[in-house]
Amino acid sequence: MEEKINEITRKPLIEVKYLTKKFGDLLVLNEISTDIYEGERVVIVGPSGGGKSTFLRCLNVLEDPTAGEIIFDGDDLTDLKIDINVCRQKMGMVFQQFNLFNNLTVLNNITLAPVTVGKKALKAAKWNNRIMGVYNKFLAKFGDKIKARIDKKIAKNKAIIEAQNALLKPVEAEWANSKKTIERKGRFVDTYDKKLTKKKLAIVTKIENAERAIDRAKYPQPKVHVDPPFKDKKEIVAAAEANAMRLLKRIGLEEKANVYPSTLSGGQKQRIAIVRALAMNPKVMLFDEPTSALDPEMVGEVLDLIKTIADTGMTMIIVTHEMGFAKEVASRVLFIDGGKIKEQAPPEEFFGNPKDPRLKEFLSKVL
Amino acid sequence: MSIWQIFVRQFVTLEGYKLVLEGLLNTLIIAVFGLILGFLLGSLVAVIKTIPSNKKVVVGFFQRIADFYIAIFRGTPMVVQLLIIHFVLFPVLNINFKNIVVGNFVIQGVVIEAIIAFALNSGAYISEIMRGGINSVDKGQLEAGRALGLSYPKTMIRIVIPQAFKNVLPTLGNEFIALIKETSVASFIAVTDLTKAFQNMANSTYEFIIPYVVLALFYLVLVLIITLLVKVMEKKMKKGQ
Repeated sequence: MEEKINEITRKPLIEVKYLTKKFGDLLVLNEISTDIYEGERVVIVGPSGGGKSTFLRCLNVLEDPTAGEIIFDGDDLTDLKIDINVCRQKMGMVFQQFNLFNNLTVLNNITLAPVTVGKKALKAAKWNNRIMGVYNKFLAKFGDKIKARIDKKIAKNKAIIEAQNALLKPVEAEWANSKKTIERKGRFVDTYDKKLTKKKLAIVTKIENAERAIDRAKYPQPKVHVDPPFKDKKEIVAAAEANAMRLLKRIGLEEKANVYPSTLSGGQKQRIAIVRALAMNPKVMLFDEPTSALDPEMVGEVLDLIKTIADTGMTMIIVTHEMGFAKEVASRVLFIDGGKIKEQAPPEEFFGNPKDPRLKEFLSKVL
Repeated sequence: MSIWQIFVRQFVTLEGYKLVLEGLLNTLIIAVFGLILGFLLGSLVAVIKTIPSNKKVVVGFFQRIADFYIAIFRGTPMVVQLLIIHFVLFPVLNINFKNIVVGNFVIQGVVIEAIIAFALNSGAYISEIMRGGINSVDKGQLEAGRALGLSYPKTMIRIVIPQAFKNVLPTLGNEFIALIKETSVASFIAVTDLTKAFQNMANSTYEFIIPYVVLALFYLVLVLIITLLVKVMEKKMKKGQ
């Protein structure tokens, strides 16, 4: 029984598989794979230009990954056909430059997204209830035909996967053979033959597309009546504002609700940006160097807020240069350099007993 | 006759003021609606042109159309566009605009044609202005909106375009000033605009000095009013953020 529960809870919230990102010919992320579990606090450190910010931005597809998969909460985010906005609503992101909306008050900054989502849900529920009858009748009549067509599609994509997999093996072997280590800007970088890399990625993309098509192919289900959580737009706005005020109170900035961001200090801006992300009740929070643009005296208040959020059990992925903070808050620390995860370990081991030579060098410089 | 007597004769005795009022109204209608429609069109074109083209064929297609539109309407004189729209395009498409009656006012069909022509023309210029404005807004604003799960159009409409609008407001005011002066060519398609009204007045009495000087004053006052309005708006928007 206990094992079973463990198995369920140990299902990763985010699965990153062979994530690759190229800017032109520069390989920024090179087949990164890792799993992030619920409740984990992953801190990512590494030299600048090593790909850690790109990795974070790929997680919610602000950067389009060149290849690989990111499976978040059961959805493959790299699939172009899923509704990325719905998935992003479950991922809060905090930026280095705060990025509060300059043309909205603090309160509207926080409520904009929840109100938009609420209105959309209301509209969708109304629409669903309206077309339910016709749709279900249509399904009863043509359901079998649609199912047959979907079966055919799945079979076709399975054939594609098999064919491409056969093609991939020799190309992959050749690609691995073309590996060369060259020195660039004082760093050793692995490079591969450009044409082969392109060829390999093209085949991998084809396989991934076919896999996604199979994932997407689902039998249509009859629609059921949906009760929207709020009856009208006014209720949605009122609820969002109440929630925003509660969050502002928590960070002690409720008197700033009706001012514009330009009048706030950096620390206040960043705390409000964090609260703005929290207002969507995300399943995971992504922090992209949240304190790098702050005056030293304001770093503390932002880190304190992040710590209190960590204490609530929120899953977090934090890119930071604050090693002390990483030690304190992390449950796992990743070292990303040269587009690869060079080392990952719990903080005690990571800082106390680093193994990778690049990490040793890095830590000796920053600690 | 003294200048004053000429003035009174032309404007009051011969009922020139009616003509002037009609002309003023038409000029304002064409300029204001031309600007509003041109702004909407220009913003749309600017947004289309600033979409990062992720190899999406549809986006690329619309971007080519936008380029073509801008090239055509910036590359030909306003008068020529007006003439082509009135004498070529609408007759070929067999479109006839009827007069619209709003209370005591009659908005002529040709005025609507002029509005369309000026909207298309100013849209091409405003699209480039707005594109500059959109590019001047920090990229992080769009990213923050997208990261919260807002769609691209929603983020553009709620976040980026309002900020872009603020940034380009002085330039837009400039465009409006240029537009209101350019409406003086509307008489080419038989619209009684401000210029046409004064021209008629001058031609009927062969007294040219008073009508044309007063005409210039009319435009000057209009432009000064717009300048003032833009300044007030700028101040208000600055207070707003």
